[in-house]
Amino acid sequence: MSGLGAILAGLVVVGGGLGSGLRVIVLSRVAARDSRWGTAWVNVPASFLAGVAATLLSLGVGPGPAVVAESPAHGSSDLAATVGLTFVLGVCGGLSTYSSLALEAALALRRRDRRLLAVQASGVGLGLLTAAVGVVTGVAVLVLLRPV
Amino acid sequence: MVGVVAGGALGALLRVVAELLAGDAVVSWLTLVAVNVLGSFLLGLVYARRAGRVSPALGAGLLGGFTSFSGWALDVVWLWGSAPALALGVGLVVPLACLGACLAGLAAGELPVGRSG
Repeated sequence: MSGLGAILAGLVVVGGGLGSGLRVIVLSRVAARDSRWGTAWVNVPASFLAGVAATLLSLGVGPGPAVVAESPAHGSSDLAATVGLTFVLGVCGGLSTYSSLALEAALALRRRDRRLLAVQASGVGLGLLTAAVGVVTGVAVLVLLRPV
Repeated sequence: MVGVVAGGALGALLRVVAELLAGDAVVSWLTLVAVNVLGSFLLGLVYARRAGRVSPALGAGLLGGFTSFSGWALDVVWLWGSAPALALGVGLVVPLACLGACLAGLAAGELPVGRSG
C-alpha cells in the first residue's frame, strides 16, 4: 500500500470511529422520540452523504468524463478534496450500520411484529433511494461547478 | 462514548483489512456483503449470549463500525449502472441474508454452553 493509500485508509478508520460515536448520539436522542425507524435515522442520511462524497471523489478528483475534468476539484486541490471526501466516506461508514439493523429486524421477526418489520424494510428501501439521490446530487454539484 | 469511538475505529479497520485482503481476487461489493453478514451473525450471537446486555463498545462500536449500510447502498446503486438485474438481486438478497445470519447468531447464542468434567 502506498503512503497516500495508508493515509486514506487511516482516514476511513478515524472517520469510522467518529461516525460510530455520532450514531450513538443520534440514536439516543432522535430515535428516543420514535424508535420504530431505529437505525434508519442514521442509515438514510449516511447513504445520501456517502453517495454525494463518493461521486465527487470518483468523478471530481479522479479520471472521469471531460466535463468533470474541468471542475475545481482537479489540479492543485485534488489531494485536499481526496482527503476530505475520504474522511466523509469513513464517517458515513461508521454512522451507518447493518448489524444493528439486522438485530432490530430479527427481534421484530421473533415477536411477529409485522408493522415494525415493514417499517424497517421501508428504511432499507429509503436508504437505497437516498444513496441514488446522493449520487445524482454529486453529479449535479460537479456540473454546476464546471467553469463556464 | 470513548469505547464506542474506539470500537468503531477498530471495526472500520477490520473492514478495511478485509477489503485489502480480498484484493482483486474478490469483487469489492462481495467483500462488504460478507462483512455485513458476518457482523450481523456476530451481533446476534453476542446479544443472545449476554441476554441483551451488549456493551456499547462491542455492539454499537466494534460491530456497528465493522458493518456498513451506506457502503452497501452505494455498491447497489453503482451496480445498477452496469448490471441492473444483479443490483436488484443484491438489493433484495443481502438484507435477507443479514437477517438470516442474525437469527442464526441468536439461535447459536442461546445454545447451552457445554460443561467439562
